[in-house]
Amino acid sequence: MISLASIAQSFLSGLAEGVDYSLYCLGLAFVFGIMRIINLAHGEFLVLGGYVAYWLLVIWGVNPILAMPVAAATAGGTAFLSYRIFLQRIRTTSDLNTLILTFGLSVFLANLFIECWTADIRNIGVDWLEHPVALYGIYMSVGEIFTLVISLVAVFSLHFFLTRSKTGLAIRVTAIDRDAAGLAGINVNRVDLMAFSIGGVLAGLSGPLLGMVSHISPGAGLAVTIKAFILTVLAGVGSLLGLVVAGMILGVGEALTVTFTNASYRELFGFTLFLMILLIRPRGLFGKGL
Amino acid sequence: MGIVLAIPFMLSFDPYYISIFIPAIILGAVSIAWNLLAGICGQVSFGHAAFFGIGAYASAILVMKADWSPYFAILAAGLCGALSSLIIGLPAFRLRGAYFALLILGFAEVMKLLAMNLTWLTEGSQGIFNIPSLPPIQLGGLNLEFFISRTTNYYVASFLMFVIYLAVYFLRWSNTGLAMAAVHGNEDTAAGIGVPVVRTKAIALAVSALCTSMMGAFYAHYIRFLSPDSAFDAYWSVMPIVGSLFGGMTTIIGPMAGALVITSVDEFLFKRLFETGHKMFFGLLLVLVIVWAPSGLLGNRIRKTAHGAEE
Amino acid sequence: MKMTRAIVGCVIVFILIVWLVAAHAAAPIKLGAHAPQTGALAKHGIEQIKGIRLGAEQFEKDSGIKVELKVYDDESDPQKAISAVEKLAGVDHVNAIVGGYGSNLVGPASEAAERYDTPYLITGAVDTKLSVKKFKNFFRLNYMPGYAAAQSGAIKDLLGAKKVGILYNSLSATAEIAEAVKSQLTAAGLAVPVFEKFEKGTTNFKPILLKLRDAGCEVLLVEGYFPDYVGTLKDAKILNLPIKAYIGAWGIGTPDFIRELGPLSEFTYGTSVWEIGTAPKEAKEQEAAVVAGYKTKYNEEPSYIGMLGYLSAKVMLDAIKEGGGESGAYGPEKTRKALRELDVMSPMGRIAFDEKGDPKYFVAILFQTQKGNQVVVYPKDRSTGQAQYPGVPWMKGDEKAGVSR
Repeated sequence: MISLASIAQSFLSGLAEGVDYSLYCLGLAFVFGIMRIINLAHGEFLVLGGYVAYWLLVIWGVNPILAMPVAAATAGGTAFLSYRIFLQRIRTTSDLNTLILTFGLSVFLANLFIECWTADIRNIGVDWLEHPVALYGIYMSVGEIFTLVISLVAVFSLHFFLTRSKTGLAIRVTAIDRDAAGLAGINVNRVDLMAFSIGGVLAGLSGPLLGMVSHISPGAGLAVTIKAFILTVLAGVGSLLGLVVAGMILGVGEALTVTFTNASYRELFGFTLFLMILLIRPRGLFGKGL
Repeated sequence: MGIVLAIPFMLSFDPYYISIFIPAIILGAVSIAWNLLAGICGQVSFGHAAFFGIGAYASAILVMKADWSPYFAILAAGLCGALSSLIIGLPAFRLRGAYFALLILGFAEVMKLLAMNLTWLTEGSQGIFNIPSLPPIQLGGLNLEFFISRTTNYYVASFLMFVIYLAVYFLRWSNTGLAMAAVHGNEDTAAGIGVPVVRTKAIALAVSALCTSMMGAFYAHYIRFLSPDSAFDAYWSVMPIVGSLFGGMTTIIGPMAGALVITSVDEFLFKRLFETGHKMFFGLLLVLVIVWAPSGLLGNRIRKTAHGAEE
Repeated sequence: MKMTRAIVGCVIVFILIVWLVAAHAAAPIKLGAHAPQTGALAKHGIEQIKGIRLGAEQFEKDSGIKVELKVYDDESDPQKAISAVEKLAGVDHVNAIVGGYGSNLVGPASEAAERYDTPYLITGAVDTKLSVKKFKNFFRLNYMPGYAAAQSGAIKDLLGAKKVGILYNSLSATAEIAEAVKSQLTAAGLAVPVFEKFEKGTTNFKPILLKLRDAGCEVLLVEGYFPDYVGTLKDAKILNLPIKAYIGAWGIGTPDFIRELGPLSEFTYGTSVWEIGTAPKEAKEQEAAVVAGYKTKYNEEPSYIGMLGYLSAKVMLDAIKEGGGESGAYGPEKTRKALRELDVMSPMGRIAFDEKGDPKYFVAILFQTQKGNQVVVYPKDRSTGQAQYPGVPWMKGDEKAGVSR
């Protein structure tokens, strides 16, 4: 029989995983919400960050937590370049074009990873981070606790950045009405560039965490992008906090589905939820309108 | 179309080339079908793999469990696909733009998961092995067999593609086609002038799904092996989009041309030059083409107005 | 100057003889190979090809016969796998094809190879359904029953466990072996209270592992691939799962498994056809030569996939040469005959094929990872050391003084 302790542990593990999901998703949701661009290369930016952290660990023994800024910067830089060189030119053409472009970018990057770093699976394992911490019979690893905290900090930081800082404000205004923003003296093109780069930074930040909690490989980007999609739609556009809550719902739902039924229905839960939300409440659980 | 028929002759029926071009033709046909919904009617779908897979499984199951003849099974599979498209489509039409696209994507993933879990029907992740190929046809004194990569397969695929092309052609130039163009332009205006928007979209979706499912069914009898991953592979959702964009979404033949070109370039150019890592250049090529020829090779410019509508 | 003329005559005759012999001995063999170099299965396909290349090189050195190796990337795509055979057999006219990874690629490709009457030897697809059609050109070095027998046999006889939890990846090969092992265990009177399928790509294994804890399982059997092992081991460590042994299927204990998991790999059990140091006595020399050669060429140690690739190339090339005889007239029927008559010892054990092309004597070995080495513990006649049971990677120090078997 399923013990109460197991249910509680399952619940907690799902909660933690859900918060992680929301962090992985943050970059995609941000770029989609602000720029209406679906960045199919989002997963690859994340994986790039993961690789950076991995090599820093393996070659110089740098702790992945410390490596996060470097990973974020690398991914952000890649995003910056991608936008500046390619995306910017086709901004005014149809939405489909940006989609295909980011798709081409993702194919390019994923295969680049294979060429540079082989198709091997990489684990970011630091012993003390994997050490379990027990509380009333419920276990969590140190690394998981860190990830949880970092995810929440990241989300709140972004929230404050967007609502309190001048740049953040500029970004939000541009998102609402580009022409008005331009008239108000905001350099719309620069705002776009910055927003996309921030999306890359957010993705890169989560890479090391993914490597710690799970693993990194050249093909890992696709699954991340799809999960991020689902969560973006689930949560709806416009609320970062909603993203975290939606992530939690997804994570807990998946975990409890496994506990009470069968492991093979795990993914089905997520997608069924996704479809139901789209059909019943398209603006998402916490969205602020299309 | 003539080019398509001529290709085998040009390449002297070499089975290697045939084996490259058959998937290219399948993709070309699916691209035309996708473009009916997206380029002509304006509803972009990210999940056509759903219909492809449904068609593939439907045909395989009918043939293997119910002893149908593959020829009838392919047609029936097409109808299955069309039906399923309406089941998901009618509620989905309330959504606009990216949300509709994502919904179909979610639908494709759910279908894949169902295929994995309904093992009593689909053999789950293990996959269905040894699907019978198309049975031989007697034509006068000729016995046409369908072994792997025989040219006969190629011609059946081309025939199907041709049929699809004709269907889309007549549809486009019919009144319904006019309605689709109106819906593409601006849904609310179309409704305002009396176009039955939902019915129009439904027809586009159903026909698009039917064609895609039929090609999926053909694929099942050609490769003779199915698994949830291969039947619902994201390849079938993404590549029709790429092919259509490449070739131009405003024409009917454009998507097919685009699909053939990208398949050939990847196989004959990149793979020859780089044994490994050729996909990298494929990605790069895609990016470059989009930036410098955003309307595709054969299409017209599509510009966004200040309010985000496409014209 | 009769003397001079005689000498010149002899020299000419000598040259003629040498030239004739060289010409005959120099008939090159064309070997085709296909494996995924891109796509989901790239990692495995790349290693496979590395092994095959080494095999071809060694064969050239040993026999003096030139080998033209043609490699084709099947991109983890069944359609391209068919094209691979079309190109290799139909366009390049190779004498035989080796490689192949993944049942969904090998299935269609083996049909194509049969059409072209080209001998086809694979090492990467263990699904029993593949040999059902009894293609006369289809051969393989390893298949599922050998792995299942090793796992269930070890659990029953070596570890003496009574309750086993089985988690398996929903993909074809892992699902098949899980079913086989489950029925073998239950037939022998053991209990399998947890038997759960998980989708590939699962990252949070805690909910499933908790079921094992609640059911009181002694052994955890994970039929999966590298990412699944990483996930289950990490989560089991966090939960401090009270089991006595962790057994994986294939891919445990490989050089990069050890590299990536470090201390988390200690005491894990795995099945394999071969790991470094596990060759039977008669083949130790050969094993050393292959490992050394691989290291020189690629700057890393071979994994079992690399060794399988090597052996497939070697076996096939030997058979082609054997069939071709003195004159070097190679032919598919002769090659097939040579393959069926084959019975050799190799680093992976005895190699011989039955009438379906399946390996007659294939039994996987079960090893336990101890301090980064693979110690074979089952079957007894191949074992090189003792198993540490109970033994799991997350044990505390004092628990490690368990029973050695």
